[in-house]
Amino acid sequence: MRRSDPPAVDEFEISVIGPGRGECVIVHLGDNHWCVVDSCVPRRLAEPVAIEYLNSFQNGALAGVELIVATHWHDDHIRGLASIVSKVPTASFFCSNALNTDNFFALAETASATIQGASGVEEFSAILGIITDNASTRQARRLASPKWVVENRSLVRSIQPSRSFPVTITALSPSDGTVRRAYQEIANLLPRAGEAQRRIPSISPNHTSIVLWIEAGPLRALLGADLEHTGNPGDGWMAVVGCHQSHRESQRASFIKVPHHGSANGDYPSVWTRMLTPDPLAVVTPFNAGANRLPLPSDLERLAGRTNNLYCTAPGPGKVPTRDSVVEKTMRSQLAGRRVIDGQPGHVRTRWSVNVENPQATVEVFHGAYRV
Amino acid sequence: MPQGLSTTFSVGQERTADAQSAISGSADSGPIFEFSSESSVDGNANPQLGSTFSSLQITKEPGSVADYRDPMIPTSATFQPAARMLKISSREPKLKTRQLWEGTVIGVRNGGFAAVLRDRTNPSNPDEQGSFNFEDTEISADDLGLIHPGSTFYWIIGTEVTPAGQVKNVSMLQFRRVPAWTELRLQRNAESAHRLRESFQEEA
Repeated sequence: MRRSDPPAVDEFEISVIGPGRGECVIVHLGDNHWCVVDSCVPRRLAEPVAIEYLNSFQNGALAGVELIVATHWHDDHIRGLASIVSKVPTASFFCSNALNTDNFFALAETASATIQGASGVEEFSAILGIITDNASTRQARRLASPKWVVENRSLVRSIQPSRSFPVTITALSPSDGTVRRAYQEIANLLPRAGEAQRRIPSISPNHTSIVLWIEAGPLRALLGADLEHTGNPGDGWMAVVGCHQSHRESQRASFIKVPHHGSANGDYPSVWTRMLTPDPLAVVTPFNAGANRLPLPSDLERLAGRTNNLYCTAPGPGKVPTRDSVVEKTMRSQLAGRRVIDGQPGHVRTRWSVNVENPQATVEVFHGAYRV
Repeated sequence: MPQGLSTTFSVGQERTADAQSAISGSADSGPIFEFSSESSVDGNANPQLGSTFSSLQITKEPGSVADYRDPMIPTSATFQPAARMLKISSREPKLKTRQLWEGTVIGVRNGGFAAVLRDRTNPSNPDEQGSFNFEDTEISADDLGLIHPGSTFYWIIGTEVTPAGQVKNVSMLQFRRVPAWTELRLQRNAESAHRLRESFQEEA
């Protein structure tokens, strides 16, 4: 199938796109209704991958986006999200309740006032601005207001007979304890008088991420965002597994968007044994912009030991561009290390025909994505 | 000092062609330093002084006591400031930019920092992450205090042509100076943020 072929109305789709910095998950909820989780804008694309992909169907899919989720506000997960919110003003915008504080709003206000360039907080500030601009009345503001997410919040519950298959989306994180702790961590990011008006760095903890549990007919999927295993029963993956055990112990997902780019600190073995079916489809997105590239070869080895159906959206950092010899020579003398941090927006697409006996997944890879 | 007894040596006016070409404007109109001597000589330029003293000016007053003084020993010397010697050009060095990046510091560690580099010369190039060591990188002392996560800078690699015509490759990191937050500004931000959040909360 071509990438631009849209899913059938009764097909459940999860597309994971990751160019090496950032990721975007696009979910078809049936009947041309869509959910967009996070966003990225790869180089050479003027718009976020979600807009590019949904518009490629030429069937009005973009207008069918029902909800937009910012799992957390790191630059690599939120870039371009304001553009999607702007183009689909009818979609509900969901974000972590950890951001529902005066301090985070002040941080967003601060970010919009700095002169240092784009950041995740600025993107969030832009989203708030768009929501405000679109909602000139009290009623509109009420509808457009960000929806604050904590564990067990239901984001979507579409069980109408008119839909091709029932869909529910539920948040499994952040826990109440995590949210409380995040409030203080966000307060610590606020600038103080006398400090330079620098860009707001993305140093918020990943444990405030929103993990999603999706049920589509008989199918289950787990989107792990950047949540990490903290070793603390009150937050991170331990809290998620605890939440799952309490509310849907018998259910297992056959798909996982591997958390935190496959890193060791995002891996909690109980997730695989208590929340997933054997050999689930697992998709990992690389991250080339940190101290270490993720996933490391050891990460892929570990994940491949957990499932035989592991996919990665991009093969690694792209090729370093070649510049003239003087520039190259000077770069070599000045830089202790150097690597490209984003490349092609590799794409792993999984579709299931929901209304058949024992739905089977059809996995397709595009633009350099591969099976590990 | 009587006018007639003065001898002035102008030194350093003979220059090599290369040096002469490096000197522009009026800087070559005067000597680098001057001697004055209360002496009187026989009217010949003293050959022992060599051609350096080519502009030797001699005033002779015959029969005076000055005739018996050693003409080789200047009794006074006027040295012009060294700065004048360096004042050889009004031209600035020319910098031709070959490559320009905008960088954002993402982490600072002992001995260096890491930054995301966005290619401003060829924006279609992918962003890169680079690690700089302080000891290998030309950063001014004034800029060192500006290096924090979130700081931005320009990195220029180019070719500099000196006034003397010498061509050399240069690399410069220039950190952006940004204003500091004020109490008043932060207070206004906080109030605005509170109003915005409340407006959502009230209606939600």
